[in-house]
Amino acid sequence: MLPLEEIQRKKQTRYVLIFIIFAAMLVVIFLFSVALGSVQIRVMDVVKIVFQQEGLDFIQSSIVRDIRLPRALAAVVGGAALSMAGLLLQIYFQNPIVDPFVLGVSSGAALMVGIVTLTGTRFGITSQSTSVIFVAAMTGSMVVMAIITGVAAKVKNIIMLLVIGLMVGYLGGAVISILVTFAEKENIRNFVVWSMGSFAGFTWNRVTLLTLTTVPVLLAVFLVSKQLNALLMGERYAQSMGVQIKRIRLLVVVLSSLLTGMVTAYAGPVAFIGLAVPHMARLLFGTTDNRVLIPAVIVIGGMITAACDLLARLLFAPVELPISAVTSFIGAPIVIYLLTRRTSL
Amino acid sequence: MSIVTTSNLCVGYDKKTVVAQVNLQIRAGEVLGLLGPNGAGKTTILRTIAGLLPPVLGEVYIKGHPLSQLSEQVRARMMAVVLTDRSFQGQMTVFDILAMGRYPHTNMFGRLRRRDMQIITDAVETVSGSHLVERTFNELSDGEKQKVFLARALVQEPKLIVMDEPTAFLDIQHKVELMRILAKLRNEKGISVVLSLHEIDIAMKCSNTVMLVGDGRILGCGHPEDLVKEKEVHQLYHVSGATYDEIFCTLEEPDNGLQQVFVVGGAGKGTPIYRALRKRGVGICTGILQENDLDYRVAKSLGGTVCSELAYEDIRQETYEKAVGMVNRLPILVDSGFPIGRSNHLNLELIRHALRVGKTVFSLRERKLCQQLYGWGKLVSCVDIADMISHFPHGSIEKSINVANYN
Repeated sequence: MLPLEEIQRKKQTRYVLIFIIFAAMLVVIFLFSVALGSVQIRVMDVVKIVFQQEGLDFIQSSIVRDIRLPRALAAVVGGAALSMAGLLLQIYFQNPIVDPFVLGVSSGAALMVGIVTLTGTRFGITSQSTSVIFVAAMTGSMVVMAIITGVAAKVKNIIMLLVIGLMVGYLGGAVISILVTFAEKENIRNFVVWSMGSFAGFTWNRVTLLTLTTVPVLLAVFLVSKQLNALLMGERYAQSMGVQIKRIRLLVVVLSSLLTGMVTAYAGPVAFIGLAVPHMARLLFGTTDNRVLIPAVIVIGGMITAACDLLARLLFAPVELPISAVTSFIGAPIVIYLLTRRTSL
Repeated sequence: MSIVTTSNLCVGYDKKTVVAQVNLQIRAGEVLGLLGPNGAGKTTILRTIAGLLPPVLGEVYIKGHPLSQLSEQVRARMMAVVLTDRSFQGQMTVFDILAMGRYPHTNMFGRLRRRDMQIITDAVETVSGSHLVERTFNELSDGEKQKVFLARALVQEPKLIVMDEPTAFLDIQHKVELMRILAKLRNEKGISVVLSLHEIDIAMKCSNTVMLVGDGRILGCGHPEDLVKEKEVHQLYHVSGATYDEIFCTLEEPDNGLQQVFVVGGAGKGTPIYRALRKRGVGICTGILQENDLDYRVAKSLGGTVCSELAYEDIRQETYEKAVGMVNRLPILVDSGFPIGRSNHLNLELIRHALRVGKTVFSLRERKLCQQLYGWGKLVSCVDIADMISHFPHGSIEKSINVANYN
């Protein structure tokens, strides 16, 4: 065996080991987030309920089945989707300090959802309609993404990009506050709860829709991992190695806005997950190889988001925090650290 | 057999032509150097050849096939590039970068088989960079990075490597090494190379054909030895003030300083003294040099006044008289420590004359030897050029010039 092969094989073994550890942690946190709460349920019972065993306490099993299980699942799938969107954007912009939230893609989705839910009843749209919100969020994230990529083609400076993302966020906020001023009280309450970000509102309907749309997108991302790797060397090198650059660019933009839109539709804007998780994955696995990072980001993203959701519920129980309050405490320091460490932006 | 041909190609960005009428041909195992000042459009030509930029007009043919009709994969198996982009986000290792070179050869997930590993191992050995494989790319020096890029290009197993300014940012050691590797690629593997350079000497030394790119057009194309003459260099770089030496491939800025010193040179001993004086703004007057002497060329290109003898001729009496005239006009004479032979022994006589008429004489020979050769007089024996310069206080030189001028 060649020395290089030996080194690579050792690395692969390490990747698999770390992956197994985090997958196990994901399962544990998932079980805990179903078990813990105002009604404590034993982990063994949770497992039994999940596997549909009869003869258990009716109240407990309905709490698990109807409330906590969809919520925990949504946090895992949503977290994985947001983290993947972050990874894609970081590759696309050749920059570690971007994610859907920072770039204002989430704000775009929030704005569209705001428009629909705050004014919708006047046009006869029931504001809580699952598919309407879904389409609105998707449209919003796509539009902002198109603007950002258009600007990025001209402006290469990343600080500019971040500032533009912030401004898009403020603009969206301004439009929303105008809408809120004139909206009906009931709609405002729903919207405000949604806009602070939470996985609380997930019904089985929504979780199913989220999962059915997220999983194919994640698979699609994995299928282009080789192209994404080539993009790490910059577009010119990628092109010289045979990457069809226009196609992959379009794909990355579409896939990342799909992932962001889908999560934001029901969970609201969730801060910094998309930024922090890819970094954690790179640090923990010690590689930039997307064939390793993509599964890693899915597992770590799911785990971290589920953990943050659990913390949001438990820290000041029975009062529940918005999830962004928890994720910001992880994400914002990472952004500051990265900004100060980078000398050339 | 030519790998690349273009005819009437116009290259540029967004329909704006940067360089028009590019007609080139690169044969197998040939190195084509694009030479020209920064911003002349060399990079634009290279990007167009590499298929990274669509031509404004015309077409690039790779082995006779139009580049625009080749699939990305076929193109990538023919050509690899070394660009000027030098840092990437993240902590990619050298191995990661090298492995990318297999991109057009591997399956959908880029799985590396034994053959791929063998190719990577060989490529990194070719550039003598095996010790770098496990390092983080961003931590390497510019020279090491350039090696890695070249190895990555080799891993792609191309017929042609396109290199943009490969010698920029490199120190001399890495420049020499790069030229050695290029020669190896060409001679052992038959790989063709097209590269852009702005240093004339490197272009002359490593390319089979040189294309001069300046002012938005091709100023010439041909064998570097035939093509690159003083006129072309002036035209290319707009440095009509400087003199270009076609033998040494060097550019020198001639001085217009006051002539204060007569240097007795020979066999290259004068050159370092000319350069040192030139930097201090002191004009050069030198002799007696045969026209085949190294010092003769340098002194001429520095704009000095040279009292010379025909090549391979003994110094004749009339030439000696001319030199004496020059020495008499100047306050200082420097003996460079030239080798003494049958054809130039009159130079010794010249130094003795300077001492006789009371000029200040600096010699780079040992004191004892000076006494033997010249006897006594106003002679300062110096150990090196710095020592000599330190004996030249600025004020006193000027004063003595004034005196000399009044005489």
